[in-house]
Amino acid sequence: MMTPKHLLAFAALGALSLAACDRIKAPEQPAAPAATTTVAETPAEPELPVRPEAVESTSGIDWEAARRDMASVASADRGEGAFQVQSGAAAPPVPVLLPTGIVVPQSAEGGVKFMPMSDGYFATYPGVDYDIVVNGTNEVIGARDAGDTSADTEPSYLATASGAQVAFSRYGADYLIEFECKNATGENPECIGEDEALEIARKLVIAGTR
Amino acid sequence: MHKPIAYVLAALAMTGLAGCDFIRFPGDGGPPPSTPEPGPAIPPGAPGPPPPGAPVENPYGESPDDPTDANETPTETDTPATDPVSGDDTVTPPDTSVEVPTETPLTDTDVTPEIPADTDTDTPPATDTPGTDPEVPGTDSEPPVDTPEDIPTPPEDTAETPTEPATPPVEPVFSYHAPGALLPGSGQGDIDQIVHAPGIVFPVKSAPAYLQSQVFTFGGGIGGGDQCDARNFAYPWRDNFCETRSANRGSPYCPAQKIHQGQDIRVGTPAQCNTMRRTAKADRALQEVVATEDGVISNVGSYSISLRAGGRIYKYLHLNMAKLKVKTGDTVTAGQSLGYVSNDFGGSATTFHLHFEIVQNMAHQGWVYVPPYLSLVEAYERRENGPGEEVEQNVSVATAPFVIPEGYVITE
Repeated sequence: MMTPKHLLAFAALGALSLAACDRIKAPEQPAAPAATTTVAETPAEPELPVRPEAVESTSGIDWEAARRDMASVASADRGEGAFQVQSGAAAPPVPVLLPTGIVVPQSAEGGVKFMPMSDGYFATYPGVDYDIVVNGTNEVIGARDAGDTSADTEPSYLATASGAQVAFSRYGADYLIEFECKNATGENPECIGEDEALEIARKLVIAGTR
Repeated sequence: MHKPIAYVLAALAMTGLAGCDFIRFPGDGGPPPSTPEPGPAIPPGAPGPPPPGAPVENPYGESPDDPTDANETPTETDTPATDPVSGDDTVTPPDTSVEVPTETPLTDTDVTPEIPADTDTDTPPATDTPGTDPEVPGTDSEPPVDTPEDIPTPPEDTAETPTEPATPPVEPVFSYHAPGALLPGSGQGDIDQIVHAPGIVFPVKSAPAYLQSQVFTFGGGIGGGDQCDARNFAYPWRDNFCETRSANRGSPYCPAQKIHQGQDIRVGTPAQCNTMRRTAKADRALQEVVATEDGVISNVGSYSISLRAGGRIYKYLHLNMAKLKVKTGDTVTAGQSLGYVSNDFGGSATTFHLHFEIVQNMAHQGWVYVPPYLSLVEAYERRENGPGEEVEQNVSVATAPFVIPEGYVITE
C-alpha cells in the first residue's frame, strides 16, 4: 500500500532525477552558455570591401634654397606686419610664403589668420571681393622622392565652384592659393580673373624658414 | 520497502530521467542550438534594398508660391516622363513604405532640434535588420523544430558551434553605380578611381544620403520636375564628378574639361525636402553636416566652407550659412558638426543638397580636384556598418559625352 513514506520517497526520487538528468543526459550543457557568451561578445561586424587607396608621404624640403632666398629678401618686403612667423625648428615644416601688397579691409582685420600645422600652414586674408587663403604642405598623396625639387612647378590657374585657385611647387613643398569669392552667386561665381590671380601668386615672398 | 514498490520507484526514476529533456525543452527533444546556422552569402548581382517612396501628384500640399523659398517653386507639369535618376524610360514607382533605406535606425531627434521631422519616414521597417530578413533566402535559419529527425544531432555538436566562423551574412545596405559611370548623357567620368581619401567620416551625420547629379535629375535645370520627387531619394548612387558644366573648371581626372569638380549628395527624405521648402532659409536645420577628418576650418565663404586636413582640403558648399557651427580658424575633429544641409548659393539658390569636394596635393600634379565618389562609398559603408553593392551597367553608354544646349548655362 502507498503510505506517506512512499509518497515522500516518490517525490524525492522524482526531484533528484529531474535535477540530475541534465548532467547525465547532456554533460556538455555547461559549455554551451559559455560558447554563446563568446559569440555574443564578438561584435558582428560585416566585412567591408577593400579597394585601392591613396597613400600619403612626406616630401623633402630644400631648406638651403629657402634660407638663401630668405636672406635675399628685404624684411620690409616680407609682409611680416600681418603675421609673426616663427623661424628655426618651431617654424612650419615648409618654407612660409605669404602674399605682399594685399589690402585687407579695415572691417576684416580680425579675420587675418596664420595657422601653422603639422604638415605646413595656411594664412587667410579677408577681402572685399574675395578672401585669399595661402596653403603650404609637405604632405603628398602618392610617392615622391625625398628632396626632389625637380617637381617644382610654375603657378597654374584653375577656376573653381567658389572662386579660383593657383597651385605651384617650390623648395619641394606644394602651395595652393585659394580665392574664395565673397559676393558670388550661382549665376556668376567668378570674382577674380586668371591674370590677377597669377599676379598675386608671383608676388608671394618667403617669410619664414627652418 | 516492499519489492513491488521498489520496482515502481525504479521505473519512475528511469522514466523521469528519460523524459526530463522533453519536460525542459518541450517540442524538440533536446537543447536548442546556441547559434543558428548562417545562410548562404548573398549572390553577386542580388537586388539591393527596396527603393524609397512613390511619387505623388502633389507632395507638398501647399501653394506653389510659398514665400519661404520662391526659387524652389515646384512645377508639376515639368515632371519628365523619363526618369533622369536611373536614365530609364520605364520608371517603376518606388515603394513609399520604405522611404529610409538605411538599416540603421535614424534618430532624427538628433538632427532636427528645431523642426519636428516626419517620423514615418525615419523608422526603418523591422524586417530590414541585416541577417534577420525573412525574405532573404537562407538568412532566416531554420528553427530547431525543423531539424531533420533522421539526422542525429549529438550533444557534442553544440559545443563545436563556437568554432564555426562568426561572420554574419553580408547584406548590402545600399547600392551604387560604378565609379565614373555618370548618368547617361551627362558627361564622361573617371572610371579608374581609387579611394583618394581613405578613412574619412561620411560628411552627413545620420540622414540617408543619395549621391547623384542635381542638374540632370528631378528638379535640376536639365532634369526638370521637382527636386522633392521621391525618385530622387533612391539608390543606387551615381558619380557626378566630371559632369558637364559651362564654366571652364577642370580636373586632371576628367577626360574633358568644363566639369563638375565635386560630388552632389542629396540628403534625407522627400518629406524632409518639403519641410525644408516650407522653412525659412535661415532656420533650416534638419540634416547635420560633419567634418570628414580632423583639421582646421581654413575659410568660410559666402556659400562654402573649407576644411584643411594635411594635404587635403575638403570643401562643403550650399550649407545653411546662417547656422554654421564653425568659423575660420576653428580646429575640428572628425565627425564634429559643422552646420546643416540647405541650398545657399550666394544670392541665388540651388537644390537642397551638399556639394562635396576634395582638393588634394597629388605627387607630380600638385593641388588638384580628385573624385570623391569611392571615398564617400567607403565612408557610407562604415557609417551604415554594411557594404554597398555595385550595380553592373554598360559604362561605355554611361560615359557618353553631353552637349550643353545652345544658350543654356550650367553653373551649379
